[in-house]
Amino acid sequence: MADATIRRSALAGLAVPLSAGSGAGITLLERHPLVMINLRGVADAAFCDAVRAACGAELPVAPNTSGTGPCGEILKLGPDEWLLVADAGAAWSEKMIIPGATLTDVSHARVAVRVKGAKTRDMLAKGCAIDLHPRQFPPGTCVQTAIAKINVILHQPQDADGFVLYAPRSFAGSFWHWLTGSAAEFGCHVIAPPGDGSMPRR
Amino acid sequence: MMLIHCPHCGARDVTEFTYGGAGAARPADPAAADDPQWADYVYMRDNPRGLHDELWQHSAGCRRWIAVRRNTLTHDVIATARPGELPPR
Repeated sequence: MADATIRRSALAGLAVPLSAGSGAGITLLERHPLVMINLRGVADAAFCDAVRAACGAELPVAPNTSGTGPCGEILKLGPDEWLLVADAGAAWSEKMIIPGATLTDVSHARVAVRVKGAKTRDMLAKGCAIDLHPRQFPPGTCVQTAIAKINVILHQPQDADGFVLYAPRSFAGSFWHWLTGSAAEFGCHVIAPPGDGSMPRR
Repeated sequence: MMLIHCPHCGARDVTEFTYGGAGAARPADPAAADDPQWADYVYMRDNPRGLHDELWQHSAGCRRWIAVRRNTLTHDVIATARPGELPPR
């Protein structure tokens, strides 16, 4: 689906490696390049079966949840809306057919940053009104909310290795400044994505 | 702070929502409504002290429109539902 032209992250030049020494409470790691597909449909039994057949994952139907499978993640965004996320080049992303669904490639719409470390919840809580306590926000939880007044998708993957934040690409610079500024007091360590952030043409 | 219970996302802070005005009932048979009825529906709004049925959009969340019954005096949110599905008062 996503035509494999050169993709330059909106965080290119910003998400550069930064070491905070041994005391880093926060680690930021950009996820790039990703394939993101917006999925719309009515979650009846046939639709759930079709998604399972296409993605190998259960369609999350409960509010604020996500699913994960061998090919990627499914984030629930609304009563009839999901976001499929996978590393670029994932096998299913090129030829996805789901009867009854509307699929829209939105890979370029957002930047994704994984935030992890012992102080992650304290740092996110400075800009967000969501209760991030593990009792309220267990692994697999996915919410759309505003962080520092920027509309983001906030997802805690099943592996519980921190949080992944998806922000609109036009807000990438502003969002990155908030992330690094908010993390500064805890010691902020930045790991750049592999390569120069671009994909080879195929 | 005011919490609004989105029917799709659960309780969220009011800053995630955008106010969409009073949830006035649309004429049951729009084609048969005359000008005064349309003018009443489009322009005329009550300004109650107490219970008020409103439309809000969860603009920073699921982006769906929802119906909210709110007390304009105390800011208590009495009930929320999908549009048109608030229980009768």
